[in-house]
Amino acid sequence: MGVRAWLGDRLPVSGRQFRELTNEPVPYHLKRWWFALGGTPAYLFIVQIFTGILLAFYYESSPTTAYQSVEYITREVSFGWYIRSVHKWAATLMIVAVVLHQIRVFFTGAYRKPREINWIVGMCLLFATLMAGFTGYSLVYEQLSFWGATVGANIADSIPLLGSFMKRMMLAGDAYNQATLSRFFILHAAVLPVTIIMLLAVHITVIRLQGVTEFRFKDEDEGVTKTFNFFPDHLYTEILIGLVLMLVLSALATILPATLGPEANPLQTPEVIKPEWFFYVAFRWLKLFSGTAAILSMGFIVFVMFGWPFIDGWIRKNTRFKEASVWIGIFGVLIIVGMTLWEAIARH
Amino acid sequence: MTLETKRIVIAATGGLFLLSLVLVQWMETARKAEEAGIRAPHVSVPASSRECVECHAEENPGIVAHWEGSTHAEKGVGCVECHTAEREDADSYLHHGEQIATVVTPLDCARCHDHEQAEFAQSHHAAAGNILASLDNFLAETVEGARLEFNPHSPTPGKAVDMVNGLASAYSGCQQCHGAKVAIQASDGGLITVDDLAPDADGRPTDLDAVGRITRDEDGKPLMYSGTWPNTGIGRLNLDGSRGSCTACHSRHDFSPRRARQPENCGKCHLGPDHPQKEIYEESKHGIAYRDLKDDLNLDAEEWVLGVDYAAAPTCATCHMSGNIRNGGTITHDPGERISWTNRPPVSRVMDTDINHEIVTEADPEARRSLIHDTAEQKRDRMKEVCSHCHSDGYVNSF
Repeated sequence: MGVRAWLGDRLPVSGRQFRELTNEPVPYHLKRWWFALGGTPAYLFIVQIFTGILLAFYYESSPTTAYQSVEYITREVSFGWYIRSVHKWAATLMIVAVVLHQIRVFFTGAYRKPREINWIVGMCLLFATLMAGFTGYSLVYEQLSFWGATVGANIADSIPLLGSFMKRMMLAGDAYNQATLSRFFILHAAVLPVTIIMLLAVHITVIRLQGVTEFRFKDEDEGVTKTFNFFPDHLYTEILIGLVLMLVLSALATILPATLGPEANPLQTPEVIKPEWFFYVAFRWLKLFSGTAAILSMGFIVFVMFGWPFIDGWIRKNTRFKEASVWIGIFGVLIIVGMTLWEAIARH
Repeated sequence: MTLETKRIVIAATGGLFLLSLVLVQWMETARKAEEAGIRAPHVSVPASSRECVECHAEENPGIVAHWEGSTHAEKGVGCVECHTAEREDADSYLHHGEQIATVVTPLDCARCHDHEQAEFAQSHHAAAGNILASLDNFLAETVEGARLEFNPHSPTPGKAVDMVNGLASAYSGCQQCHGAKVAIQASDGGLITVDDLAPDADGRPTDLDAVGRITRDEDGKPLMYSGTWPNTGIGRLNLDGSRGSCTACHSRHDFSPRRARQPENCGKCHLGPDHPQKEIYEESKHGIAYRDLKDDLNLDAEEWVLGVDYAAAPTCATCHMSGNIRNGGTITHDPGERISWTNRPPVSRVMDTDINHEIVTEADPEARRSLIHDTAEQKRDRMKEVCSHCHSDGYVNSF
């Protein structure tokens, strides 16, 4: 019995069916590179899983040993510095890629009916990625980790009604203690990755069910649906993007390897506390509108972001501002970039 | 892009990625070789110090060679990073386009090592210069020496000597360990010290009249008084108001942790009839074990934590300063943190210290309790943490 027949008996998928599954025609606009940004975060996520597992072999999630174990990974373990640096840079690029993907989806209106649910799933993926970033840098247990987590918990505390409960859930008590770090570790290494995988599964399934949104550019013929094969055309594009990403990650990890700041000292508040760059915008917002007002306004913005497909649908249906989303999007991007730069430049 | 082109680009990018992994492998091998001592560590000369290194490699090759073997060189900390000064600093001068000072003080080191400097500043080491104003100094400056030049009334064959410096034993003796009050020659023939400059918290002089009296050579370099500089005494009274000299233990310019961990380093000062700690140590079981087992002490270890990196024998640093597994590897630059008694006064005192790290002399129990910030018992417990690596509790408590 040949291998093919042996496999055929056990996996009842014929070659033709497999080709159909993998070779779905893809809209022609995907030949343009910037439309392949959706696969980039997924690819970086795989890099994170792989490097994260290697780092977890050595990481110890206790305040007394966490910093030392990261130091050990960086200085002693073979290729430890490289794996840690790739993990750090892949996290940074993953957030960049998710945001760019979301901006592309927003400006091309790809969230509109019938794809509202997938936009919401995408928003959940954005926040899960940001949470993974937050819990990730908290694990290093340097000054930034400790005080970042403390500030984060205090921000959660100012949320009306649920605040103190959320803070206690985050810190495993009223203040940072022995159990806090293991809570962050479980979130970072188990809960969030599984959540992201499940959300990704839903995200991709919905894309397969609905098909990729088709776009037509000015230089293309009207009325003719042009497609090309996923395999090997689009797969080659994705492989190429993956290889370029690996090259970029490798270059960043060797030229700008992950550093290690001073160890966390609960008795010494740093003169300047700043979170990682991807929270600069939220941090600046909190400084501008202190207290509950900042939290409530931020909550409102997040709510609007989640519900945007429905809000946009209402605007398009009931007003004459059919392209309002573009202007609102430009305004939003300018605010995010501006506030991030402001926080980056400001000393306090 | 055609499929064929895509295939070629994928192959090329894949090849480049594999090459990058070869580079990573090369970096890792080089790192391991440096750690194992097979290869000399990579030295990175910062751009600001390139000219210094090139010139001083000719003028004083030893300085550059020592620096090249230092962690500073590995981390890209060059000459200017430590010697940099502000124009307002009393001893600063322009040297080949860089404003520098010859004397590097603890305030300079604190630009990077602020935690270490803060610990050192509160230590008894930093107060070693107090001897200059004490009765002990009477021995050097009056009993053995003289505050004025004097005629030795004894011919020196081959030399026509009629007057000698009476402070030679103070300058070359006591002050080499205790530290000198660093002085610059003044235009009125006197000396300018920290007392005249009255520096502020940042070390900048506030008495500009004193700054105006500083004499300089034709290149603008201040003329230091040779009786007080060179000096690396541990309690040196610096022109910027700081006390001490980090190079007293961390010899320049290699700043070797290995050397600071060895008892011979401490023995430079802690010897002789008035402070014979080195001799006592040498004859003790600790000192005997050190001589026998020095090769097992892993003196080049990065952190040098007792119980992790070594356990063969203790040196002075092991007990008084270095980290151990019981204290989480915490190093202190204040040896007094683990000393519970001082035998220096005629009647020994228990080292209950106040918030300023001064011994509390208050006798009233209530008032005393309110003043004590760190008890002698706490200090003893810190020392016992070290002892307990090799000795049982019963042994330690009964010793």
